Amino acid sequence: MVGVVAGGGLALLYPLFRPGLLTRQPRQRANALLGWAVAPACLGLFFTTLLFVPSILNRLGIPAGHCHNHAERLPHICLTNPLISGSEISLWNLVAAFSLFLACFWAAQGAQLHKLARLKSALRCAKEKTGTNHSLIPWGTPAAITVGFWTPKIFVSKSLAQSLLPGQLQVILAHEQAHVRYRDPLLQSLAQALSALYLAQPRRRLLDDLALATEQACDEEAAQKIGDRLLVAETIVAVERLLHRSQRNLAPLVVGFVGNNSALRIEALLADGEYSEPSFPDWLLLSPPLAVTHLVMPGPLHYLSELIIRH
Amino acid sequence: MFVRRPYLGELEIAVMEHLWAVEDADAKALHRQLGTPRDISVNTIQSTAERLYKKGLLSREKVSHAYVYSSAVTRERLMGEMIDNVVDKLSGGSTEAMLSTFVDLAERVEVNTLDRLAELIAERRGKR
Repeated sequence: MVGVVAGGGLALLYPLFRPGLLTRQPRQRANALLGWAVAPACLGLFFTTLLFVPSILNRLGIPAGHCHNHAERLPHICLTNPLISGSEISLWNLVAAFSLFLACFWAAQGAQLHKLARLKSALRCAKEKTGTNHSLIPWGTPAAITVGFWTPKIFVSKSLAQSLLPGQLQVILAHEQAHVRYRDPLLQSLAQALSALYLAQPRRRLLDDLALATEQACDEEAAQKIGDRLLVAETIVAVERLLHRSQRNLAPLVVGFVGNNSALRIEALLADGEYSEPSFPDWLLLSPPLAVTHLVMPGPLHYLSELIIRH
Repeated sequence: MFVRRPYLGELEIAVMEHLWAVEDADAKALHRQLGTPRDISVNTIQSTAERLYKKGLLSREKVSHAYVYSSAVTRERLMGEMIDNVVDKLSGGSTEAMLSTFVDLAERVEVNTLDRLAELIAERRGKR
């Protein structure tokens, strides 16, 4: 319930924070958006865990609370004598519904991960030549793909490598290496998996903004490494033109909410990296969900504070 | 020739890779190269080659009592088909967010917009 309330609250507040966020330096923005995306699910999981804490502590022989009266009134799930009182039954129902929802959502995510593993396997199998930090694949679509979580690998299609100027290929490799360095595929997957408690539309918008921030952060890294922002912008245009000319009729991989990122990335590169300094620290972004959850469920936070102070 | 888009197993890929390298081989020759190191029987190799033949990826010719297999598709074509096949299966899901592509493979910028952006870049270059 806390996660759902936090998700709803954050979805309502996001349009207020968004204009300020969009002017921030891209890597900072990506980190802030990642925190924003995963906050509701993390809070939900945290408070769900907290429901079991008194019971677990009791089993371990640790006094459950500083204030007995308060501890007894704290909604919790008793593992020793489950389903005695009516409030416990409703808590079990809530936990069961929450778990079922997350299980279904994560099962769908797991299916996507399975497809991703197949793609990685196919790319590994198909690779022909291996450069120092990338592999060439015989694929008609002009594409550069970074795939993998812990040790992401860069795959560049031969059609792309043969069509671009050497400098443009260096831009692409610098961009993809930035993805590898920051483990962006892993972070994006975490955001996908832990943004389950948002409604579809705000979730799509948040994830699209995160994708844009991540791409822009890697553009900035590539521009810094190559030393030419305009070459990065030219490379994006060149790859877009190649994809337009590509014979392959790509099925839509995603239904975009805010449209294509390439134009926004080029415009940001032409703006010479003029980003505003944050007017508030990042941790302040997480204060709205914490405030909301404290208002909704003051007991568990009070209880946890007592527990920490006591032990 | 129509080639079904396959997802090949490790042994199937190994057979294909070997035949691309040596051009043709019968089941016994394939077994010596691929079966012995993997500790698998000639029959397993034979059935793998048959499966690839049925998928349209190998051609075969009977020489004496044995079939001699050779690849019916180039490596480049088969691998391109394999990647296409997997990428098609990503459609409509959220997998695309779990990998990174230099530009979004699905969404295209309008040509007019691209032209406008290219002009802006050229203009900026001219000012340097």
